Amino acid sequence: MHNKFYLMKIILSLMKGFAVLGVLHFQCRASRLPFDASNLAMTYTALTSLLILGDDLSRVDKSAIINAMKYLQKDDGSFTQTYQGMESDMRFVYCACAISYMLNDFSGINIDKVVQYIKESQSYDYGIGQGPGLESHGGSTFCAIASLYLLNKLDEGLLSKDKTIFWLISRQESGFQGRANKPPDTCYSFWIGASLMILDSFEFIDYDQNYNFLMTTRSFDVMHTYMGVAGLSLMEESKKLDPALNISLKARKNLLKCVFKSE
Amino acid sequence: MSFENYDWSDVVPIEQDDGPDPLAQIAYDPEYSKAMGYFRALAQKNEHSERALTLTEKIIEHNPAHYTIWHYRQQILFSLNKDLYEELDFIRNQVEQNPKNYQLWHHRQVIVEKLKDCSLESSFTEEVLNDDSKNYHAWTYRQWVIRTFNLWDNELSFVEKLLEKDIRNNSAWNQRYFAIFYNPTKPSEEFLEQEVQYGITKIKLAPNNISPWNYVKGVIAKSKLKIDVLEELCKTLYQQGIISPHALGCLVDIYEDRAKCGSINEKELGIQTCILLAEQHDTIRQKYWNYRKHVLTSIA
Repeated sequence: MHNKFYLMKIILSLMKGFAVLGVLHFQCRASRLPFDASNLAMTYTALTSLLILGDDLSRVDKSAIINAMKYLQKDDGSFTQTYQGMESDMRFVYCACAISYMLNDFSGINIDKVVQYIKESQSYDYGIGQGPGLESHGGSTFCAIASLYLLNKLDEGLLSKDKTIFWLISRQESGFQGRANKPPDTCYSFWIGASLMILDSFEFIDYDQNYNFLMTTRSFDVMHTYMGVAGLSLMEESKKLDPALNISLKARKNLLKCVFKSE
Repeated sequence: MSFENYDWSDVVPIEQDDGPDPLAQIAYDPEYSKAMGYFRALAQKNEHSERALTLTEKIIEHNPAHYTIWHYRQQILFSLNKDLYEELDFIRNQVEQNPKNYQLWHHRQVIVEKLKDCSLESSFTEEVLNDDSKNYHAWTYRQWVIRTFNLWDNELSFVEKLLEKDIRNNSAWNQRYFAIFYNPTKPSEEFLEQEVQYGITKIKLAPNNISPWNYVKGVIAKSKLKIDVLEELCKTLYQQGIISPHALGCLVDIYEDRAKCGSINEKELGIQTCILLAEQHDTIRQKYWNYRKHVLTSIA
């Protein structure tokens, strides 16, 4: 069985002082290079990058991406990153839901199975792990909550919204920790903060302690630096960050206007 | 033999194609670029050979997260019928430097699945957890081994060992829950009541430790017991002057349940406990406890 995957590449070139975005499509290289398959996390990142840059996604081969996604969902409802068989967990569930949302097409995922997987990944403490039985964790909790939100299945997917909110709130000790009894880390100001925001409970956090933590902690890498900025952004009075897609509201507006064709 | 010592004269390396005007090109190590050039050429003709295997080792050295190379390595190992126990050793050596590498852990899973032999896996994960008792990959893998090969029997005693070392190890508490409730043999009600008592004993050792509180509440939820069984513990701690926001929070839950059933006295107690938490004992969550106070106040 031959499966066609499309690789998206973003090229930015500066011409006469203006940024121009080009998107190249490459046909699956099954004819040339056997392992060159698409990657769900890269597709999520590429699409959000395009939106941030003001693109309308008209040059994206949407049906190819959606069709390819079907091959990445496992029987338990989770997703792998690529077709070549890798670990499957909540991270790629999120990528699949976010991609589907941005392309406004959920036919590439079995929604019921996703909801079931998320339900089964809820821990006894009402946080959510990467998969069933696994320890509740800030990153996977975000992925699950954001996924449910994007699928419009929050009520169905959470066993107890109140108890999950309490789990999230309990993660603050100055900044936020990712798991109980672990030290706080910059990135959880986003993972936990954004989860609370999606559940309309962000205002329960202690802003000052979160702010002080973020302003005094060094970040290890670009990702953590971004997460720190995103975490700070969530606390701004005029909301600038969309917590579910993790893009600016400006980029989200672009999505609504150009992709969803609504205001 | 190292990858340079093989004869590569028949191989025309294929360069990475970044397109006509690449932006922000990665400055690859020349040795890595060279190795990847050979990989693309070998992959194209689907070569499974000793030199290909050694090549994957070289690439992994530079880029241990390169999942395509790990996948190719698996294919080669199986084609050449290599000694997979040697591969398990190879992985064990790698895990010290890369204990949180997704590809490495998945690779071990693929090898063990092929071998259908889990005899080394318990000690392997134990070794990793000795270094970092909360390594999420190690726990995830360990749960996979237990589920796949039905190794439930010794898990509680393993968890016990870890909890002796660190009663606050939330991963170990989670594993305890896993070992009991994901076990195909369902626990008896008597066993669950013993587990609640076990949890209470551990709570008393460190009442500010959230892990056993969550664990005990989780067990109660799966049993015929109600959360009220913790009331005495919570009140005793407070009377002894031991302030635990978890104990007070637990009381709020108990009082709220009873307030909803009509108890005005407990509604008031609940409100007072929320005030204690908001203003004195869990001030970082002040806004949350004020919200809970509001919910209680609104109960008719």
